[in-house]
Amino acid sequence: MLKVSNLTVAFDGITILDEISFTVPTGETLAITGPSGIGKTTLLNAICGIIRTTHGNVLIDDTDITSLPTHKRGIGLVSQTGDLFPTMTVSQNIEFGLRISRTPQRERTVRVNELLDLVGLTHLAHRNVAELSGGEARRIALARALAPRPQVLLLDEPLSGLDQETHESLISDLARVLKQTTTTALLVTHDQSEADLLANTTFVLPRK
Amino acid sequence: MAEYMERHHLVSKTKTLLIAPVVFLSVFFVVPVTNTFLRYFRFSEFGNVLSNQSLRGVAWFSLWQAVVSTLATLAIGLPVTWALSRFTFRGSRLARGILTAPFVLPAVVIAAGVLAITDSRGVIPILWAHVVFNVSVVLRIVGPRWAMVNLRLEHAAATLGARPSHTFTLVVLPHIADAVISAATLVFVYCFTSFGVIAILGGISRRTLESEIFTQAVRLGNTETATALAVVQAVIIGAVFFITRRSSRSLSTSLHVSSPQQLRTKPTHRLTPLIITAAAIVVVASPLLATIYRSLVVNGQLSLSAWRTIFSGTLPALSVSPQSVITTSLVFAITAACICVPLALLVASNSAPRALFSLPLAISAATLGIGLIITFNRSPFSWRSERWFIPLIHAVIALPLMIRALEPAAKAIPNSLRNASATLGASPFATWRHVELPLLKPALLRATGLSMATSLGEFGATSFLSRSGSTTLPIAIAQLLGRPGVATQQAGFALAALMVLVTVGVMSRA
Repeated sequence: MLKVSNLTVAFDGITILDEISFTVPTGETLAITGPSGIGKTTLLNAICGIIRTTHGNVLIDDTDITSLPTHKRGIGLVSQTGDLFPTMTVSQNIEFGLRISRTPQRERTVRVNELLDLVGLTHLAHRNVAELSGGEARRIALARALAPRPQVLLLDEPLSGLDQETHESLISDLARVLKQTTTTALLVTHDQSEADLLANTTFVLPRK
Repeated sequence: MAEYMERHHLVSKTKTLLIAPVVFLSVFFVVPVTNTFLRYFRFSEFGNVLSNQSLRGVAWFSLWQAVVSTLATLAIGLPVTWALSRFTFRGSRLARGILTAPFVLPAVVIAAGVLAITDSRGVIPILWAHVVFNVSVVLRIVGPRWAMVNLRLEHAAATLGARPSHTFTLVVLPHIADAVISAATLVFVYCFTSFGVIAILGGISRRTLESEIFTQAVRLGNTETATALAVVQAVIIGAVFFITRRSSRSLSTSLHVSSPQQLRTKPTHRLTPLIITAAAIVVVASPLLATIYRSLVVNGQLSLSAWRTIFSGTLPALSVSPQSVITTSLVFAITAACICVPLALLVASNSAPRALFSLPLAISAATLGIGLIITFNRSPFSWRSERWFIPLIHAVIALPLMIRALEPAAKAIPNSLRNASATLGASPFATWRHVELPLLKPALLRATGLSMATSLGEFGATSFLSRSGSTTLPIAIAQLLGRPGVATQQAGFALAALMVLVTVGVMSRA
């Protein structure tokens, strides 16, 4: 379970997020919606520890992780652009988190194959990431984020900027993956139909 | 078709003008260096050098001090490059300015600064001076590359559980490795061919190949030995460039410039970039401040006597008055800029062969120095003792740097502007005068400042050519600091402090 309590982010006296609170039960997906510039991405960055929070708490299963650095939080992130490591192949990207946690090679290979299968891209295992299409890159980014089995998965507009056909195929794949992996997820989107399709509940980020 | 013909005609015309820099560099660089090797290189002497234990020791010292200096520079330069490329904070621009300033300061001034603090000569002061000079090289070369590594990749790595050390080695380093290797190569070559620093801090026991070439050629008259040493030096430099040549491959196609993060938004360890930056500033700036302090304080007492001496008095240790040295250096710097900047502009505005114009970077100043004294010593070309010859050679040495300073600005002017000007009836000269020159003005000012700074600080080749009437500031500083006596030493520090102030003044206006 992810619990965000009275989360506030302010810089130079400008409040970006003000006393935000919500809870995402284990295995469920909460969609965060709201107009552009309201602070949706800032909220995700604060939850995973990329930016500093002014006050408030982030808890996972009642453990306060607010003061932990990003790499110790156990929160995965799929950003709008995928952010695949361009110096690594598709498999190496997916394997990255497992390599960091010193998972034995045999287990790493099994997990990478399992995730490639899950996102339907087994044939691209050894491909250079620069050669992937937009839709393929998003699928690999999702597989990479899921590989270390994060306690919470943050999805920052993972379907934005795709053509209609890719968008439709990816949205159904994402729904299937979230259901199959029973991951606790937070989905940021400005598209209400996406929120309806992928999330159990929706939280509209209030204006400051 | 008519437009193509006209354009082709214009290009041919400006290409003709390239003859001037090609001839200039050929006469004053290619001919003397080639002449040295043709006239004085003997395989037998090469064998003698390799079998001479003392000279082998010089070569070994040159090599290992350059390696250690490079590693020390990277150890201090890379963390501060991270801090200043990844974060902005109050004072970060000033910090960058302070750390990059030594790049245009003469090596003898930096060496004088280290001497002002340590009051001793030897390996540690030499390494320190090399670090002070070269941190700016790392910052200038690696900084822009680091800024091109998408910050979100680092965030992605962190969300996958990677510690900062893992993120650096697995995600960042593959992207910046080429720049780190390029910077390390340049730093190694600068330290390997170190002359000004060794002249001040080497004492009697620490010599590099560069300083030994000078000793053998000028003091002992062993030009053949000096040439053989120059070959050994050139072979090692060539080997280093050959080994690191693959580092130029770029990954920039998949990257973009990432704006630095505001430090106050960093969730943890916010003090780390500040501490790293402050430590680097202490290492780099303290020798520069020390020259000023030592010029003002004698035996714990404030004294302006050194400054009075350099502006109005005479010093027995120098054969000329200090004010004459200052005037000579400034006249040389202005003359060198007047020669160098127009030539560099011609090269930068045309697609001239870059390899020829990069040669002065690959051949050491001492090697050029030998060539100059053996080539220009016979009538009607016995110019080696002429005063005007020194700024001319300063222009040769500054030329590759000037071309690099002007090229981006010259290349950035779109041809459509020239075409528009031509269709409005402007001649090629009028187009250059009214359209191109105003656009190039900022780059020209910077290049002029850099050219003057290079001339003011040139020590290697000038050591071969300098006579009593043409003593420059770096030569005078080395002479003063190399002799005993409190007043002499203090005058040396005062001249070094003056150079810090003049160089920073020239560069801040450029």
